[in-house]
Amino acid sequence: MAGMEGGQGHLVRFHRVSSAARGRMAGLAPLSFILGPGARAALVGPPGSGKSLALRLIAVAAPPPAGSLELFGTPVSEIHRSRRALVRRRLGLMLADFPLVDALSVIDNIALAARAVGRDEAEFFPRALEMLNWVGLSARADEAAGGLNLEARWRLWLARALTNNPELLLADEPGAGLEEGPRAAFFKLIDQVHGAGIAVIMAMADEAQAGRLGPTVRLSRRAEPA
Amino acid sequence: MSLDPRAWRPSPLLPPAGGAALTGLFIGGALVSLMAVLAMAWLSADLRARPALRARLNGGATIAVMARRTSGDLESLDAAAWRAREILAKTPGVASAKVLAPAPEDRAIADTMGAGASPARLIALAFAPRAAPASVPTIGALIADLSREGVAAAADDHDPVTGPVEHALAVDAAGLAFTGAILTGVLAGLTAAMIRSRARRVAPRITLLSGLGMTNTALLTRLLSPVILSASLALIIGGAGALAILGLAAPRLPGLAAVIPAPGAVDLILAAAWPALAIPVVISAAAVVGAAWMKRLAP
Repeated sequence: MAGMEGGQGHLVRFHRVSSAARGRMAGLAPLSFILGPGARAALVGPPGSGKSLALRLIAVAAPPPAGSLELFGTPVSEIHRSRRALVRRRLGLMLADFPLVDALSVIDNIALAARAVGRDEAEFFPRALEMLNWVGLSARADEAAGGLNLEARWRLWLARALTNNPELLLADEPGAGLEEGPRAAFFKLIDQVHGAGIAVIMAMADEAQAGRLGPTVRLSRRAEPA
Repeated sequence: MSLDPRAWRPSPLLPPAGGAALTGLFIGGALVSLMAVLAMAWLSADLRARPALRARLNGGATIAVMARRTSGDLESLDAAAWRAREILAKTPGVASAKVLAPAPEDRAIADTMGAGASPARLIALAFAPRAAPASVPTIGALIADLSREGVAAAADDHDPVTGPVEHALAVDAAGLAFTGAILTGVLAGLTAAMIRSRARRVAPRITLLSGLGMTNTALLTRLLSPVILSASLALIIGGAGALAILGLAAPRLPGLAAVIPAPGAVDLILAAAWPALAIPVVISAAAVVGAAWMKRLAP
């Protein structure tokens, strides 16, 4: 089982987690790793190897089809359905299932995250402005998210994911589609996130890029049935 | 920075419910409520009137006294009627016996064709209201008593009328329950359909907000509240409209006061209670459908 650096206990523990539901071969092969607080890891592998699925299993906080998964020291099988949302409050999500809302403004996209967890306007507004300033979008706060270019969208997504001070950031193919310069600048922001003590798990197809960012967990495509 | 924090107002967490759909639900709900309260008030009034009618039918009888030839002479019809009245008035269980004045045409027939051709004279009997049923004389016993005293009489039996009245009473009670249940079901169905439509429309936002940490209870509340509010207002306003219509109509139909919903009568209270009973049913239907969609949409 791969282990990542970090502090006491663990944030995420995969033990032979797979999507090996009966009769279904494609998807995640048995995966085991442990991620400690403040650690960073990249799940790498070819398309279809289950990287995104592994991140989604963490985000959903529901029991996986096979194997066991623990989040913040608690087996997800012991987390009641009604409490899964509370677990997600400790996560920052940059996953395709939880996209930006194009019709809303930049500030409203950030406000959405804060208001979803019941924070009032007076409390979150300064934090929202701080996040926008950090990602360089403070001058575009009232623009519609749908009108932003790809680089600005990645930055906004990151700001929204961090609005509620998560302990763990999940990012699926972060910076995908960006040119080298903007991509490097974006990963510098992720470095700052990690430097602030927030654990990060990224799903990446680019092994070289992933290797430069820290420890990797290699996933392979499952054998298709003959 | 272009953003003015003082002017900024956050957008709704869930996209607002469609105005046209909510208006449609409101109008449909108000009409259903209007129909329900009117129908139930009418049925209740009918239900209220029928026991009184039944009591009147069971509480009296009409005896027809006919002329009878005795000792070769024709006894005066009036004399026979008054003799019968005396006999009947003394019968235990009879509260009063009253000879009804003949109609003018009956009098004319007797004058021109003789007493034998005259129609019978009628005696209205009222039974003692507090008499035990066993002590109330039967119609047959009364006729037999009169016959023994030499009075030819027949009874206008109310039993054929009492039966249908009893049946109509039962039909009204069933109709009241059926109308209430069906119309409640119609409105609950409309509301549930609206929740389903809204959930489908805002499905991506529900998934997103759940992913961002919003609890299912908070999401469900925001999903349901505009629809439930619209349906509840429709119920209350439709019901109030029905009561207003009845309140305006009743004074204009004084002759029907006994059988139409009347201000202050129990039937209006029963009918007015329907919206209050229907609202929890509508909310429950909406909550069941909404919870099923939450289960499907929230990760």
